[in-house]
Amino acid sequence: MSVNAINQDELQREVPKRETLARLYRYMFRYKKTLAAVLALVTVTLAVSLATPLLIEKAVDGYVAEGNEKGLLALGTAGFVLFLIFMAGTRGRMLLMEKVTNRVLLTIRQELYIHIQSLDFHFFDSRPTGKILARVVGDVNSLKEMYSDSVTKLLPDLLTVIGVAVIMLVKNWRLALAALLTVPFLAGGMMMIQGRAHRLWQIHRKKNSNLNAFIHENFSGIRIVQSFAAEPETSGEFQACNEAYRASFIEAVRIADLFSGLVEITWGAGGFLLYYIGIRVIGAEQIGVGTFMAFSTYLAMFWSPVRNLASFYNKIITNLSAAERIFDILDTPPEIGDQEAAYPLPEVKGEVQFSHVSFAYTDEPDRMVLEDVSFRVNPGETIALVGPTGAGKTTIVNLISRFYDITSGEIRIDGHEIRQVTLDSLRRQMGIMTQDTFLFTGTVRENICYGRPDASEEEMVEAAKAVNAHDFIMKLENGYETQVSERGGQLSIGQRQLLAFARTMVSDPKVLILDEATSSIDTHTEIMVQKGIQKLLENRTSFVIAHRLSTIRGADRIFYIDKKGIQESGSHQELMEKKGAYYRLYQKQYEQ
Amino acid sequence: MTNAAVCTGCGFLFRKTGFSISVKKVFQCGFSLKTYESVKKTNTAAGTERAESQKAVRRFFSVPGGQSVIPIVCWMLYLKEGGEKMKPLLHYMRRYWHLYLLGFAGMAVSVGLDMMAPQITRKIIDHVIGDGQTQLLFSLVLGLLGIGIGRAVFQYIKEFTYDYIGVTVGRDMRGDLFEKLQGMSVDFFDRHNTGEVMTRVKDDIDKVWSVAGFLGILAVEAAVETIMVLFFMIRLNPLLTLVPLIFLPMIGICAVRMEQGLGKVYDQISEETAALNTVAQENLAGVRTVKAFAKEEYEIRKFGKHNRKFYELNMKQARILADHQPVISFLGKSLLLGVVVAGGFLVMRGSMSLGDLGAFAEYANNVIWPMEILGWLSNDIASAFASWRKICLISSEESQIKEDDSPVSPKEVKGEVRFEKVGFEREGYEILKDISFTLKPGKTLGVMGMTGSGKTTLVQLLQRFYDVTEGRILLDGIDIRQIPLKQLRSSVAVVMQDVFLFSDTVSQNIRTGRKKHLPLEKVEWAARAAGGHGFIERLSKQYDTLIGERGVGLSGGQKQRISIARAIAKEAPILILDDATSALDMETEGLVQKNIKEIGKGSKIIIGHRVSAVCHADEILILRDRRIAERGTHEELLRKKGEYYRTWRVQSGLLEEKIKREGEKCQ
Repeated sequence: MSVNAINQDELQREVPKRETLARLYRYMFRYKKTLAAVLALVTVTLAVSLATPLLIEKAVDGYVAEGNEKGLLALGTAGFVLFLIFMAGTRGRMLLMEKVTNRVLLTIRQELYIHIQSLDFHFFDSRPTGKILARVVGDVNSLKEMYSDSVTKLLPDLLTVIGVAVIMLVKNWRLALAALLTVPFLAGGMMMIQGRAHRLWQIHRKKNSNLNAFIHENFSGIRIVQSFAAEPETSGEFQACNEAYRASFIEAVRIADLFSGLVEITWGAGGFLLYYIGIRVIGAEQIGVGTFMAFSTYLAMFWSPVRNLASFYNKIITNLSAAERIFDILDTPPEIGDQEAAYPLPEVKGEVQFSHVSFAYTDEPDRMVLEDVSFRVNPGETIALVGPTGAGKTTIVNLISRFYDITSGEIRIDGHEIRQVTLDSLRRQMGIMTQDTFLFTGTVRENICYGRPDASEEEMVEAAKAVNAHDFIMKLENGYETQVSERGGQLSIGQRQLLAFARTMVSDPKVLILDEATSSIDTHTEIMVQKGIQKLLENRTSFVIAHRLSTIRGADRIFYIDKKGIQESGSHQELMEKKGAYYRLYQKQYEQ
Repeated sequence: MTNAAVCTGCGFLFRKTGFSISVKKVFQCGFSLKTYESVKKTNTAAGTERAESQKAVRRFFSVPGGQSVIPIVCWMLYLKEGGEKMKPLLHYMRRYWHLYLLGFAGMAVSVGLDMMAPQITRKIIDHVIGDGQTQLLFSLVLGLLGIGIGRAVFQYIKEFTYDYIGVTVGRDMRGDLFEKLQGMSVDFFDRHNTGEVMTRVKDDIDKVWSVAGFLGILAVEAAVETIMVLFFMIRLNPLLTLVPLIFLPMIGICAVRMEQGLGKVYDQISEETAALNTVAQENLAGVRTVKAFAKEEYEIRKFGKHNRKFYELNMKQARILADHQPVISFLGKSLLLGVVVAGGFLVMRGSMSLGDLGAFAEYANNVIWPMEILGWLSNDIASAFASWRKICLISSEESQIKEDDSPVSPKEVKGEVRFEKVGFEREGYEILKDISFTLKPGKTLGVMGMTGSGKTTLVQLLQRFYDVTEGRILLDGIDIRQIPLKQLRSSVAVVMQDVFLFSDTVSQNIRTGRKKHLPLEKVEWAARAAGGHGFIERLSKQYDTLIGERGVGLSGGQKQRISIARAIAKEAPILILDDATSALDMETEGLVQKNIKEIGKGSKIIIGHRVSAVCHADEILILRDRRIAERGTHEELLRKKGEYYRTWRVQSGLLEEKIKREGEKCQ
């Protein structure tokens, strides 16, 4: 099975960038009308922005210079009205665009989540939870900027650069050329700084996540650190991370801070060229004071779009990788799903039949885990599975609940081929308990009733009593209303297992699977639990995997699993008399 | 959790790449609402990113009506919050006083130069264009170029210096805080979860250093610039200065109100992000449970509810932005137009020259930005302040485990452990009572008991994760509270029930605590003894294979074997196995037990549920209801026919005749 550890990069299919981009924007184009409105508003506000220096110019050159008081007042009023329009337009644009962006994110996130729910264990086996989580929340959020920026920034920026250049050229092409002389230098400088800085910030970002990971791990494992008196060692490692974080930051700002210097120089040089060429070459009399003021304002309007354009490519690259990670999941087909003609499994009695079942994991098709396994289990029978680690005990029970699909052969429950019934109806009739019990954040009650939220109070208490959990629950601060959490600090591992037992009991399964479920419960409790289970199991088929032979001996039949199949089967008595592998295993434990 | 924190970095990073102190220029050039937005977005927002990372910062700090930056900064500098442990911020900043001076000089020069520029423009307009003194032109425009170059140099000096100081102060503080927290006793970590500790050490420190660095200087610069601009404006034309004096407070108020509104929404967003994360994280971690109960639909609905809420909060944020930002930019534009129109009248009346008006308009552009960032700045500084308070608070907590003033340090620890009437109480609950036993050097103690009977607590008390509340524990006859903590813990090697491995190689994990000294042979020896050598050899890079957080990619049994090897490699006089073999199959368990019996002359404490794990012990304790219920050797306990006997019967499942035939023995 492919192992994807924390510090390994995830493998991804290579997808052409353009395709990903197109796919991203398809989500947004569902809101065509809103987008059109946004674009209209952007145009309006942009026009006002571009016209503002013209207003100032007109005021100074047209009215102030000529002493036209009425005109100045009229212009002031007109400007005021324009600005009001600008204000309203900006507000409308912001609201509409945010709505589109957030809607798209809502949709993508939900789609992603629904899809992940349909994926099979194979998917979850091969990557740590943290990385999947990062995609659902982090990666989706990082798309936000890209969506809103491309409409409200990229486009207007392009238009601004063009618009400003055109206005200046139309007004006075010679002065415009003089003033624009600095722009290529500005653009070139921006590109260079952005390019270098982007790489350096990426390094810094990696150092940042290393530091985060280190702190997280160190404090998660603080008991180990302290128990092994490893503090000096971890301090050293921490200081190294801390220093790397600082050094990478300094490296990055060394370049990134050049940016404002560049703006200042461009400003200075622009002013120099504007006034010198304007007055010396063209002649001041041809150009009004207002025009100079307007041009210097226009010049200042250049750098921010240029900067945005320079950084937009970097942003796209960064965000596209987030998008690729999202689509990578969306494109992972669920290997296990309902067949088209799947029908709901009717209530079963619990007869389980394997006929010539073989199984290999999809990523290692040559390494068979099970080969030609056949058996039949009668309703109500208890089967114990024993054998060495890695022999395939867990695999067999996982196949029954269709967590993986078999490679060849057939599995039937009450005569129904499990691939032909709906997954939901199949798993609802199974009770599966694993070694690592998982509780959800919520009350004890919510956890016990997880499988059947409509269970009555009596049913819940009865189940809790049956597995001997009732007593300790009542001793908790708030009884059944006590809050527990995933890692459930206040509950011991054994108590958590008892809760999980109760949860399974409430869901009233027809087939029960206990996979090492009692390993952390002390024998005393286990006996009580098993008494309870026994009582409830009278009409249920069950499969039990356990290391302790005491747990196994009570089973109706025991399967000894090794070498890809069932090597021995029979009751404890029969297998002991056979003096085979089971007998040897038994002896070994007894000797200890 | 980790992800959230990673995002702070991004947030900050965007902020840096984006604009740093050139925010100033953004506002100066005015007219550009878009840029302002980008500043806002990359900063406060990308909405969620920042919210994500600074969970609950604002919750603790309800911004009072009139925000005032300077008092807050001053308070912060001297603030100790009763924490003798965390030194005041000033302490960290003082070390770099010469750099602060350099940065301040850079700022002063560049602001000064900035003030000169409009004066030059004025001269060009009045003297060159107006009076036709073209001979002045070249030196004047050269002056403009000079100002540009000068500002470029001094801006860079200023920005780089403050970034440098900020990150360095941050490093120093983070280092101190880490050392302090790492030394806290275990009960501290019971009360504060990892996420919280992480936020303090990472995100909160990041916020504080941004104030020590560029945020702080930005605030100072904004204040200086405003005052100077107003001074020059009044000198140019006191009457016209009324226009900015009307508009500026309006912009300021609007900016502050926006920040207050956003502050509240960010709180909610950060809470909702946490909720969204929790729901998704639990669902993913518990995917087997979800699928086993076929509850996918339910989980999707649950997530959908939070997703929807998240959307609504983001829209709420958008509305607040949309309510204020356009107004601010409207006021900025109007201020300029107002200056030109009002000034125009003054020029026409002859009470002002055209050049003065040009210069005045330029100054007006210079004064909009400090107002606009006022809200953002005071908010960031306020939240840094809140962070600092929390850092102080957490660092003022004291470790419950204290080193003795005059410690007794035994030369060589033999490994005699003695509990004398030990009792332990936590949060009003009695966990252990009246526990007494002696474990002679080289002997083995077995402990059994019901789930939750206090077995693990016993081990924790011996390592001084907690101190006993009654009686005492002696190591080689010395009260463990008198032994230096480091020596005590070095003498005890524990395999814990809950396996935790570090994201490092297998060999480095086994070497924990002695990464530099332990030779590979020892590592292999320990792995062999733990029954792990075989599978480690089959890993892709053997002992150099990286294993992930909580040992991702290894089975429960494999993780447990590495954790056993780690304890064996410590070669401590006392070895403790706390239910450490539960995930091993019987064969491996037997092998490990045999090895542990053979290696080392040290004392051993073995805690387990299986009789087979403890039956070799020289003394076995059965805990029940916080006390020792039964004690003795295997044979003695069997004869007692008590709980141990019953457990043994059930587990070994001996047939009656077999008991008769072979007797009651434990091999």
